[in-house]
Amino acid sequence: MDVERVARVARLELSEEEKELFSRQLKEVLKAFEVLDELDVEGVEPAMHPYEIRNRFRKDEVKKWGEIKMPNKEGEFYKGPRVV
Amino acid sequence: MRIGLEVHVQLATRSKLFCNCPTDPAEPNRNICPICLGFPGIRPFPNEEAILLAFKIAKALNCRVLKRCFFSRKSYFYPDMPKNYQITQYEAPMGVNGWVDIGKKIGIRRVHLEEDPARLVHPGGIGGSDYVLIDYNRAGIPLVEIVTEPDFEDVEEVKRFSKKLLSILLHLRAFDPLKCSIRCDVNISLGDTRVEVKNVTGLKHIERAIRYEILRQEKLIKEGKEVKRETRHFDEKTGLTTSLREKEFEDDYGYIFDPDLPIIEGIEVEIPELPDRMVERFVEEYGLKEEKAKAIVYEGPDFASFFEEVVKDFGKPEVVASWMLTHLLKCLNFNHMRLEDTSITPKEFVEFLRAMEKGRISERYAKEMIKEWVPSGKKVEEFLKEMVSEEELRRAVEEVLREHRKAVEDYKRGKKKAFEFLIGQVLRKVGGRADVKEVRRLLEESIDLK
Amino acid sequence: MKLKKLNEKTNAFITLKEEIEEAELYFSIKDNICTKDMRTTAGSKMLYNYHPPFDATVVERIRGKGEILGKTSMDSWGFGTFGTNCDFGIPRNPWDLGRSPGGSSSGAAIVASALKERNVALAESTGGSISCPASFCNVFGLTPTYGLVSRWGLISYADSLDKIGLMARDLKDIALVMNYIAGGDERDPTSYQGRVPDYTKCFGEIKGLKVGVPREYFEHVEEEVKEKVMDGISLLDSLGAEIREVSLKLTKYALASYYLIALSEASTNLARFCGLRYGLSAEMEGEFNEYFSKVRGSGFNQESKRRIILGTFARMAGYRGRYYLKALKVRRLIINEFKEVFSKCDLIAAPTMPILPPKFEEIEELKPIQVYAMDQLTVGPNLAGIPMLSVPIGFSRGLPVGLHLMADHFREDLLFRVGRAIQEHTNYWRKVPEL
Repeated sequence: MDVERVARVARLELSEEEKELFSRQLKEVLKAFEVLDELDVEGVEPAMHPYEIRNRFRKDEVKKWGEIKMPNKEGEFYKGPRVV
Repeated sequence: MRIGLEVHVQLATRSKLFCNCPTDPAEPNRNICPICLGFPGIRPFPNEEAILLAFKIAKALNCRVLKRCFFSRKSYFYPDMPKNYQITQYEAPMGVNGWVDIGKKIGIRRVHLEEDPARLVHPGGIGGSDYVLIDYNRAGIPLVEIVTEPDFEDVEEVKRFSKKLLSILLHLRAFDPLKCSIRCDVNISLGDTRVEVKNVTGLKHIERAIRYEILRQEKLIKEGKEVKRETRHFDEKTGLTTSLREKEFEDDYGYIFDPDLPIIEGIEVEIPELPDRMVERFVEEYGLKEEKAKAIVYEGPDFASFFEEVVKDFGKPEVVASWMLTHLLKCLNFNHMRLEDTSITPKEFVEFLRAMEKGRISERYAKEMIKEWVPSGKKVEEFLKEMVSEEELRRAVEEVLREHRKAVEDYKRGKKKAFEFLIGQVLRKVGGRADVKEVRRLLEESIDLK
Repeated sequence: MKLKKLNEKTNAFITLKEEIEEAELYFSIKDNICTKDMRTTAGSKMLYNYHPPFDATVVERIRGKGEILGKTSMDSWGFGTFGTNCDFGIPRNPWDLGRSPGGSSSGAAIVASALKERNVALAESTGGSISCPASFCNVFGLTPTYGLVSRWGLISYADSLDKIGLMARDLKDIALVMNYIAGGDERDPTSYQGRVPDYTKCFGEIKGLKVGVPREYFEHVEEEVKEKVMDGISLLDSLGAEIREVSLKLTKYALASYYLIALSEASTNLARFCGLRYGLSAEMEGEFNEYFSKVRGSGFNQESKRRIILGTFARMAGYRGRYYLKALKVRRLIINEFKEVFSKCDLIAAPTMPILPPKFEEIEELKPIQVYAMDQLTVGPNLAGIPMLSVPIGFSRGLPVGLHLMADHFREDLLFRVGRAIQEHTNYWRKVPEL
């Protein structure tokens, strides 16, 4: 695993020590997880939930929430970091 | 040349996809709640209407509708993403392998449902400031994504497709042009390389973006330069596409099934008569030319059914079509109104047409009347009441006969055209508010007396 | 009530209420459950000042039914088995302050066992976070069936695995509070819509109940733990239950399957914490990627970062099939295996944890994979979403041991029945640690 690359994808700033430590530790973890390779799962459906949860919908109705507090309000907008 | 589209259509639901916030246009950050803001501890709850509309769109585009579908999380980081993942559909969309007929078949690869991100405002233009401004009203609005095969060979085909798609969406009542938007990612390849132009809003800009991009790529090829495989951005002001900067931070979407949401299974939907079939039927049943039938049908289901209601009562489909398309539609567009927003009912319109037929109102007056009728909410009856009294009319006739003695002489000598001229003059004097037959009668009476 | 003293010694609370009114029943709430009137941190520095704009459904349902004491300590985000990943002081086992109280619902178990007054702790489990601390602290710990209790207001670890549950010294109190909190919620589409029984009436004879004892659940278990657990099973035998040996062959795959799924989901759940809308933030200078990376780098502790990296990796293009999707398929097999066993048995009985509560120094020596392996007995049933109850079944060297009872989906009634029988015939549950 390229920890540095994954950390970038996950937007996690890591120190050099952390990168090295995780590299080692996660290698061990993944090695232990290789035990799954023993199992043949041909034709097995992935289980998203412990049991099927189907067709739970809500009616298309409007309900207003009310005031919400969030930081960085600027006029009617909320400030965010620049994108370029 | 191959062109493919990824069309994002905002659905005309009352509330958002996963919460009850309204979808209507509003001042920034009025339509928000912890769910569409992605606060910790919230649970998204799918909007039934959005799901039904998405299935209807898939069916109307001739897709194979999937019996089982589910939602996935698509991870990427951006300030407009409240959860830094988007709830979308990946492995199991609503429908696949459909087509739209525009004279040739344009393949529809897939149709799926997803949530819209928030809207970013860049004070001073992109790259013009230290920060962005976020409006979360848009976050969570239901989008249907329609991905076509790269079957378009020129801009005209894209235009035909867009018109057809829009009319289908209107007839499904999945789209409301007054509040919903359509955004597109366009993929264009003249040679081997595919260039993607992202986030073009509105069908008009899609055409411009394609035209520019074709020119740009043609120029590069002519000069022997390489067309880079890349993603570009379309600038509405300049009409140009520009290269998006290379990304240092990549995103790997890392799709997982969204375990907050149920599996959707076994949903059946009914779709109404679609535009193609309706146009065919109008040509058959009403003897309209295909162009006219298309014009009526593509205005939307309410416009089309209005036409049918009127014809059922009044007959004369050609006349009805003419008046609806040439005059009524023009006034509606001028006032930025839809037929449904006016007080004009099919019954009223029939009354209007009958009054014209009987000569109670002149055509000239009718054209003026519509201009007032559309925005005012007045009834036909009220307009008829504004017609001049017999006394006023007699006076007008006498004035005209006095003012135009020559025409009277011409008529007496047998010039029929002179009589029509006199009628016209009388009508002018009373602003058209007279029954043509009455004018004729009074003129004849008065002239005979003389 | 000497709550302040208890808290000083054990770090049971992240937020302790200032004024506490006297009541017949007290509640403590794990700090990943949103409370409108108290800050909610999920045990992480990232939410050190977060005040939710709403109550969790379970909180709404217990308001007025007793006095809420405060928010209890936990491994941040639920990431932990020993409570050592709490950013607000490490919680300590009231039976031996040099040892772990278990995790991630550490504070809940401490309060349930050490507060003399009658109290019920609201807690949460993803891979064993109720059972483990219940076992380490000598209290009953109920993890209900997935979906039985609404997750509205629960700060997610892994949405297909998270369940809100309860801990208390007296199983009767757990039954009482289950009546308040269980059952459908129109705000949570994954919540159970069916009829919910009166849990206080789920007591009675256990004669004839078939109890399966899986041999795989006794491998890699400390002798002292095994001994006490077998005593517990013998007790059931003497009360008329039919004990039979069963096999859960897929046990050795449960750990990998659990972690790959849980962390894949968790890494998406934690993506929202980026210093914009709530929680920790920083000076908003720089481009958004830099800003997010900086805030997340400083707000998440080491274990959180480790798990986010692993979870992000497991679902990345090119790895997703081998790790994430494979784990989901193995989960299907594990669920099927449990169902198979429940077609022949009413309950399963096993040790809750493979070890006695460890010392903090011992924990420090462990590598991550060894820590994760401590969950080996609880991840299986958690993956399957079946209900489970950890029952105080004895002491070894003065440290508590738990017996784990598991039943089929929505068969909490069986857990109450057998748990009650054990409660009636033992006295371990009555003991309160001296602090």
